[in-house]
Amino acid sequence: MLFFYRSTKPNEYRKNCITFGFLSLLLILFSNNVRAENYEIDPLHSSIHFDIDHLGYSNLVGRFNDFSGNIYFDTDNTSKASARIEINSESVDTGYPKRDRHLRSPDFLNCSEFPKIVFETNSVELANESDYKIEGDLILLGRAKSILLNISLNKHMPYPMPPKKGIPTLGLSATFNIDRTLFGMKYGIPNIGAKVQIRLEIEAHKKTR
Amino acid sequence: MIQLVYSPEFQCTVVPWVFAAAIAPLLALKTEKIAILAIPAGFLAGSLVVNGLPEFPFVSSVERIPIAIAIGIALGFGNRTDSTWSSIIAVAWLLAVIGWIGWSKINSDLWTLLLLSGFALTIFQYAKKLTPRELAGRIFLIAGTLGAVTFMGGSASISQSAIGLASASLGVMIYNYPRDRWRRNAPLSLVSIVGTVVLLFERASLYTESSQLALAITALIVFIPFSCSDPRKIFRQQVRIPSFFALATLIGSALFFAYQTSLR
Repeated sequence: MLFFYRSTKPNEYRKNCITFGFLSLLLILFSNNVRAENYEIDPLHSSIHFDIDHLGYSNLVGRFNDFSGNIYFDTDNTSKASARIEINSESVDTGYPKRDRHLRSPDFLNCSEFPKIVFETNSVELANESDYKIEGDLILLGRAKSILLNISLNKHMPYPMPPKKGIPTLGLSATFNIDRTLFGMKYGIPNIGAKVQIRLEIEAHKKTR
Repeated sequence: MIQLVYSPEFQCTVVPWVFAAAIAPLLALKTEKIAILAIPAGFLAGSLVVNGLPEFPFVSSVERIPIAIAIGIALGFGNRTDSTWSSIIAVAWLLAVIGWIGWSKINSDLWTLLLLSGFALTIFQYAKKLTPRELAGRIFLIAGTLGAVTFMGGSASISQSAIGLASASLGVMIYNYPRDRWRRNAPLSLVSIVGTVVLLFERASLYTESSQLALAITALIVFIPFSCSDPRKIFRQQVRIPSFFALATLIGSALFFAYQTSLR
């Protein structure tokens, strides 16, 4: 407000207005360049699955049913993209309640002590036309470990179906492996594998104000 | 044979038992009062063999318990006196480790932590009156029952730890059979055993789906005298119920409630 104080010198007032207008324009242009768009993960059309070796006979397949997250994506500047996904560890589901209860116990996910599994990106790099190399931190059982994954951008178009019709939507897929022992989850080795393969299928809609 | 050595069942039973039985006479050579440290030492040995060395920073209770027990053993080894200061340090250590293990639940389960603290202080005072064989026998029964209760509560790793503690107690019991090889235990040596028991209870209570009622009944085992021929006054009342039946009732009840909870 002081900036617009009508001083006794009209020239000074005019100069202040021009300077302010110029700075505002710069701010708008500059903020547009760095503001990546916020896409909210749609949990109804997204999934997080994991596979783990069971006694060498087969891979046990499980999923997490409760998760949320945001992806900040800028089409013009993909290196500015970032994402954060938060998984409710208690939502683990392998189709067998007694086994799920065991997975929630301190033997594995220790859900009572660590109710959240979090993934946060640190850097995003465009590998080719629709593939990205992402380096991020996976926080599991209270430990943060850096992981690398390749993620495919399947589609980035306005959504065709109501109620999200017309809203820009991202479709992403990724598969990566982690060594659960690095996070302190050592129970059952080697009968239950150390390597866990994780598959992400994500749909995220641009957040409208 | 090689496979047997690598099996968790072998590691959590034989290793603590042998380690405790071997280290008890060595500690007794140093000072008799600290020989009881063989029990937490045996437990620690089994824990390290099964779970490996904890990784810094110690974020989970799985990693914190061995560190807490190791500090307790060091305190017990470093102070063999019966002074007031050693009792004060013992109580402070007990309360500190209970808070450390249960820190993430301090807002949601404060009453459980307070109850565990009360339980810890009570059995610490009670344990001072017990001979090594009596103490090891109680720890054997309470840890064995805790192992069964937590196994039914869905946590095999806590069950393994409890069985390891029971095995270490068995090693000291056998060493003190048929007669106690030493009479008194130093307070700071006692506190590491009490701490081991209480921390396992804390983990089972706060972080597993074990029956809270079964855990509470299991905790009472420590107060049952072993023989009617030498009845001790508990809370100023003469215990009249034959100890065998009292123990069988408590253990049976604990297992029953634990089993009922596991069916849900």
